[in-house]
Amino acid sequence: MTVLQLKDISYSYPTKRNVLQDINLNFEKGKIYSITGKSGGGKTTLLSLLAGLDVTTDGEVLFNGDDLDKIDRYKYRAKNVGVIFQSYNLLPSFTAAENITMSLDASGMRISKPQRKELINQLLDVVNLEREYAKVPVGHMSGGQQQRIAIARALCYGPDVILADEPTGNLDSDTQDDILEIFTRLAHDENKCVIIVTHSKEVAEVCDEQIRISKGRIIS
Amino acid sequence: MFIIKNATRNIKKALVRNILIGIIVLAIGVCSTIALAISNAATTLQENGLANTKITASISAIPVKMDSAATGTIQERRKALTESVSGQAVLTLDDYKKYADVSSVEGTYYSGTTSLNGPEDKAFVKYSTTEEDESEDDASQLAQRGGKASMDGGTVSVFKLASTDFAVTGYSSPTAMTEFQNGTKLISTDDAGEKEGAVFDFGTDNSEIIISDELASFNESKVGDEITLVNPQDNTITYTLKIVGIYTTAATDSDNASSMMGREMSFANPANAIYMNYETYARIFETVQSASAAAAAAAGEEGVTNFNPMEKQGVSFTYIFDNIENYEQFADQAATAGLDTEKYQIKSTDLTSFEASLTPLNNLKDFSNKLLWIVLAIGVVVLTIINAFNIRERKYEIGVYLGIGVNKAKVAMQFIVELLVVSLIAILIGVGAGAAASPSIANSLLEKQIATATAETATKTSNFGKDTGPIVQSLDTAAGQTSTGPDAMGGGPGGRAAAAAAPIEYVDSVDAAVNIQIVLELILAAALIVFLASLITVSSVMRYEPLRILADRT
Ligand SMILES: Nc1ncnc2c1ncn2[C@@H]1O[C@H](COP(=O)(O)OP(=O)(O)OP(=O)(O)O)[C@@H](O)[C@H]1O
Ligand SMILES: [Mg+2]
Repeated sequence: MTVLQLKDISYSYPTKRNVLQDINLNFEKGKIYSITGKSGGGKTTLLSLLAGLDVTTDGEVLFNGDDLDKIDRYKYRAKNVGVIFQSYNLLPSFTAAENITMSLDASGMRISKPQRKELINQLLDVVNLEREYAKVPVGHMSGGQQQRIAIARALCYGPDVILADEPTGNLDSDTQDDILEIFTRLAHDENKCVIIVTHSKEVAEVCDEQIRISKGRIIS
Repeated sequence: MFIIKNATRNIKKALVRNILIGIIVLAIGVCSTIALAISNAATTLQENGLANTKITASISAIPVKMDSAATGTIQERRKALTESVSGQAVLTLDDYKKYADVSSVEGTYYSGTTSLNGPEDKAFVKYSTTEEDESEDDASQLAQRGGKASMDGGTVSVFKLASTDFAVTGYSSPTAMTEFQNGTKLISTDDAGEKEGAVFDFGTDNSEIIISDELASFNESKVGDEITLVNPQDNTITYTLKIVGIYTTAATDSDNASSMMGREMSFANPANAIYMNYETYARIFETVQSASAAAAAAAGEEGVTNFNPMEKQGVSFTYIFDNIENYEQFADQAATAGLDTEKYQIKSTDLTSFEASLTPLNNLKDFSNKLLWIVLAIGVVVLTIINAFNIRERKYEIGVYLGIGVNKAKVAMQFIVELLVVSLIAILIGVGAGAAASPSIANSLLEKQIATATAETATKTSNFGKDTGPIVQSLDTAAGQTSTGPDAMGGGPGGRAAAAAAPIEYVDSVDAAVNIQIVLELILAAALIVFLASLITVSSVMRYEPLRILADRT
């Protein structure tokens, strides 16, 4: 079932033209996708468009058939899509639990305090982090741990789509495997649509579909 | 929900920053509380100070400009003065009573003053401070007094009236005797603690008088004694008067420059004031007036005869009003009753002195208001700057919020709520501190203002001899003093001279209490400052794009 659709997308930055050109892609629930390609090829740009963080120059992005231009992008980001940024984008002075709670509050999900605590514990279990980390400020955590908190945050409100930019970039191979396992499980067991931007062939090979981009165009 | 939760979370996280903002707002709060409390107290006092007090007022002729009289010879000046005064229709007691019939007037009282001499046999003599003064003969006394009088009253020295011994004042009712009402003068007690008589009765011509304790002991007079006084124009006309009481002048700090001056000049010595009821006075005044006219006719000085302001003026009439509103209605009502408002003015010394008493407080109020605006302006500027830095510093945080799907309005709101909560807590503490401090600060500031105002008054006094409205007042008193002698300096007709000479009793304490209104005003002010400072927040947040911010970070 198609959840995200790119129709004749092209994109230019004010200072750089045709970063993306004539992109047509369909993303389905229950599948995990990889986007690979040379540096500067436009992968992050594509992910930003999918996340509703930026607006296409031409063409449309459809979420469940609705043009993102016509729906509330903030609501879309808060509820329907979980983004794991390359640089995590957590608030370092807040604890893991607080970072997650913030996203929960932003999504408008109403749950009681004990329920929330339980949910956070579950999420930490999912990303293989000990529960004590809930109370640790994110700034005091290692890159891999932060990465996992960022994933937990992206999952907490149960979005249908998960977008991850180089989620394994700075991780050792064991942790990389852990994370990949989480993403595959999410796609296959929980029927999410997972889209991962990566440089790693290993990672790409695990995915159901592999998309390759070069100079703003899809080459396979 | 997100806004409130996240705002509280952030306030706790950035405690140091918020305490800094809090301290600034607190300082603003303390300053503005004090400023508002002072300004509020001043306004209240101004509005309510006279609300429930009776107001007294009198009608007086609007002085004619005498520019031409200022130059020229004595004769020319005398002529100009004569013309200007005699040219004015002077109100009679009946006129005054007619205007008193209007609805706004609650009551009236009046008094008149004239002069009498002691008897030829010196059975009763005027009080004098110096030995030489007493031994001097009449001629040299006349010269001396005349010289001094002309200094004050312009052309007085040309009238024989200036040589009289006693100022005789008649009052219509006890309320007319303002000095006895306010305690400046009272019936004295003898060594045994017994009251020395009482104030005369009112309503009928009973020849009863009260005299000063100084004059009484000087003449060894007692209550019950009868004395004889002489018409200054015609010494064949005498008046037998009975002393029914002896009064004393309470020692007050009003022994100021002008009353000291009064004591130096024996003709103006308040100890020589004799008081009686208006009926007794009216009988005496009539004979003084006709003798004066006869004397002038005999001398053939017709022009000058007309110029005796006291003859014309005769009576000093005071209207009493229940409240200030009634007083304010009086001008219209009196005009309807026939008062020529082009020639006469209605003046209330209560009002003038009340307003004068508020001078330091009003200065303080002005100062406070300025301070308030400055503090608020500085507050807005400082908070805006801090806020601008704050926003820049928290740019990444804003990017994260936008990234996780919090919309810009909510992010901006969250920042504003943070600032608002911190500011409100700080302002409430500030109001508390300000409320505790403002009474003492207000009063010590007021003290400084009074010191300034007093210094100014002292300067004026040494320059002009009196304090308020130099031109008008001196014309009024000059006209009044011409024939009155002693009392003009002490009480004077209608109390005008008294008002000019008496020291202004400034309002010297202010109830700078903080009330609910002030608290609400300050909370509103804080909200306004936060709002203004927040404009920069809103504009920054609206400008930020999450992608840029988050990409910058990478
Ligand atoms: N904000 C921007 N303004 C102008 N040009 C930009 C901006 N961001 C990216 N670009 C340009 O757009 C092109 C695509 O950039 P993008 O970040 O999408 O590449 P990428 O495929 O993610 O590269 P990498 O693998 O290094 O992350 C690049 O040539 C880049 O220089
Ligand atoms: Mg990239």
